[in-house]
Amino acid sequence: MGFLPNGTFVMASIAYASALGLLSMGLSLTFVTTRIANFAHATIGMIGAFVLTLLVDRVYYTGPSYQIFITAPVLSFLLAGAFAVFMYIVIMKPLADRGNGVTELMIATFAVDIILINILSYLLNAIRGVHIPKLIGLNVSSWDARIHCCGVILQASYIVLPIAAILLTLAFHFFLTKTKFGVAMRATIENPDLAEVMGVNTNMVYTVSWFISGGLAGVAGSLLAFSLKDTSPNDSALIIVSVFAGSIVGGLSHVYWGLIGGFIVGLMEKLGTGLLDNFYNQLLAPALGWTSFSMINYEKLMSLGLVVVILLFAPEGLAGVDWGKYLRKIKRRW
Amino acid sequence: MNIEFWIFSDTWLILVLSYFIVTLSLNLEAGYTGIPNFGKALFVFMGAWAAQGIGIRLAALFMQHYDPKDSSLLVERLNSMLGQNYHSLVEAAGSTEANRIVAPHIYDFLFAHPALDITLFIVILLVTLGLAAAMGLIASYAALRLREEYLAILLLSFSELVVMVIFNQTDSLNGGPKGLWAVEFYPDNRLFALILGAVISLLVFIYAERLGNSPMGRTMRAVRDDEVAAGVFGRDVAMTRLKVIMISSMIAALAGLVYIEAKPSAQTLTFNRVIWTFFPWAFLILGGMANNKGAIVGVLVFMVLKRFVEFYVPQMAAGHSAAIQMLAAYLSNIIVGLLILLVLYFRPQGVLPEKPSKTMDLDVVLEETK
Repeated sequence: MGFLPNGTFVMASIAYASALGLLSMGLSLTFVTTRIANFAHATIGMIGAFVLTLLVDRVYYTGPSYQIFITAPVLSFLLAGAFAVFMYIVIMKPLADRGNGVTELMIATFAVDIILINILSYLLNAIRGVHIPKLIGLNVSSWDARIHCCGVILQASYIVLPIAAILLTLAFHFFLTKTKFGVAMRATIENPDLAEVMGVNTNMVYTVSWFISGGLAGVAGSLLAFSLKDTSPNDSALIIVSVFAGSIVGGLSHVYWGLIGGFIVGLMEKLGTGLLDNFYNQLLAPALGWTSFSMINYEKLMSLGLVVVILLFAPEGLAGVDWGKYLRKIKRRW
Repeated sequence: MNIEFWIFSDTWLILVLSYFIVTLSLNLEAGYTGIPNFGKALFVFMGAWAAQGIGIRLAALFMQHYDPKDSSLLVERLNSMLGQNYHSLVEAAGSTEANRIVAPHIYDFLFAHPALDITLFIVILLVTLGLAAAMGLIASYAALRLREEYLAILLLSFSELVVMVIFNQTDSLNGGPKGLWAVEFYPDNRLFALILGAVISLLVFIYAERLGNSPMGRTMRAVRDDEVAAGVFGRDVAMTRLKVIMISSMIAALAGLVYIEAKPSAQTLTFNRVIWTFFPWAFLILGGMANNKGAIVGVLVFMVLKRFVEFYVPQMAAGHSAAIQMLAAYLSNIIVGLLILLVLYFRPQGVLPEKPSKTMDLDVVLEETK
């Protein structure tokens, strides 16, 4: 079984998939509450990467430290959440109130995306003192602590990211089910008009949902930055494709399915491409005499293929699939 | 040819002409039919690819066929110069190392044989249209029947991944990130691009005006305003969308052809989503959706403003600190983004709002049907 990938690669894939899951969950959350497909979501996540880069550059420049795994996510959550709230209250809500349609709101998020990318790039370069308008990031991965475990060397962020994803999802679930505000939020998602009649401040619910969405993106971005080659806000241009893929696989209008969809897309992109690459280059190509070629660079195409298949055969996403039917079928077989 | 008036140059003019074409095509989709096409860059790139990766190889094939002696000599010289082992001129023209050396020789061959030159131009025009239509079909098919968000996301994903992943990382298709040199059809390539751009944008404008006022145009508006009602009246919503996407993809690809003729050495990442998707949207929103004159006005106003910002802001920043000088480089994109938000807030219908479609006078219709 020489084509199986090693432990480091598997952990890296799981970490990437967890980050995508968090991002897709946030995207689905704002889509469910305010019906805005936010094309700036990945760039809001890059605020987290920006925070991490600054922390490494100014505070933790001496070397790897575990403290950064507390400070960076917390700061990123607050900052990215604050930006998302700003974006909703100052830009998206006034535009929606003036009767702009779905397409106009999408192009507005597109505009916010471009403004934010340019502001972040400028700040990153200006603060770090690189006075060339060129998007040179900082390779922060060498500031990630290394863990020697079970015969493999892991970056600490590979372990922190899945743990953070699980903790944040549990906290979000607790918030939705056990607090009064969470119940109000679920009611608003189900039926905004009825919730408003029952005395729920829907506007507040929308604002909080944007805060949570931005915060989750910020945490994912700050921890994902450890495994990006060169942290630059422009990375979001390709990340957003995977994030949308995750949300569509989950069904675009179900928050938890968004998390699962993002996780599946992340695993497919990293682990799926890695397995396929190993299988082709180590088993198939030598056996049949075909020329070998590396598929690792084309990993993003996995998510595109998955989205096309999902849209063609299950446009409602995995959430729309009647799982009970299949379960019953399996039970009957047995 | 070199035009210079004040701060505007011929390259600026050609860019404006290609933006006319793209924005008019986007207007057919977004303005008339309500298709949020966020993947315009892909279709523009198809036109560039037809002249770059495909065009230069076709031209090399022509040269190899009609001038075998010279081309084998050229390949021999190349092999000894670069230490490579090219078997044919086509292979050399398509490789990243030899392309820049071979291309001028191929241009000279084409300029010396006008009949071949014109044939090649027509072939590449057809390739452009065919590629763009096929790409439009592939990129939109899965989401034609779904809500518009899905279509927007799918088109955006296709555009990003095809241009930034497939073409940027595969050297054999279009020379990887640097891109192959495009084939030139006339010694003064910018004059050629200028005339081509002017002719195509005029034709596209006339076509778009006529289409907008035809029964098809009214079907498009019906699909945009209420797809259920359009379906009830027997119009095939998905088919209408597909037709419009394929037609306007073909038009957008022509813009790519015009642009690449003016700038044959353009890199693959020139066709990114900011320049070829976001800017046309900005022009359209500023000018007014579903109004072809509005699209033209939008392009002109925006491009003139942008040129001023690009030209004068660095001058203003010149005396100041390095941080401010650097801000100038990012400023033009930030201003475009802010302008879109402001237009959407203060004048969502744009400078020139949509007019009711022209229909025939009732008296004339009654007279003719008698």
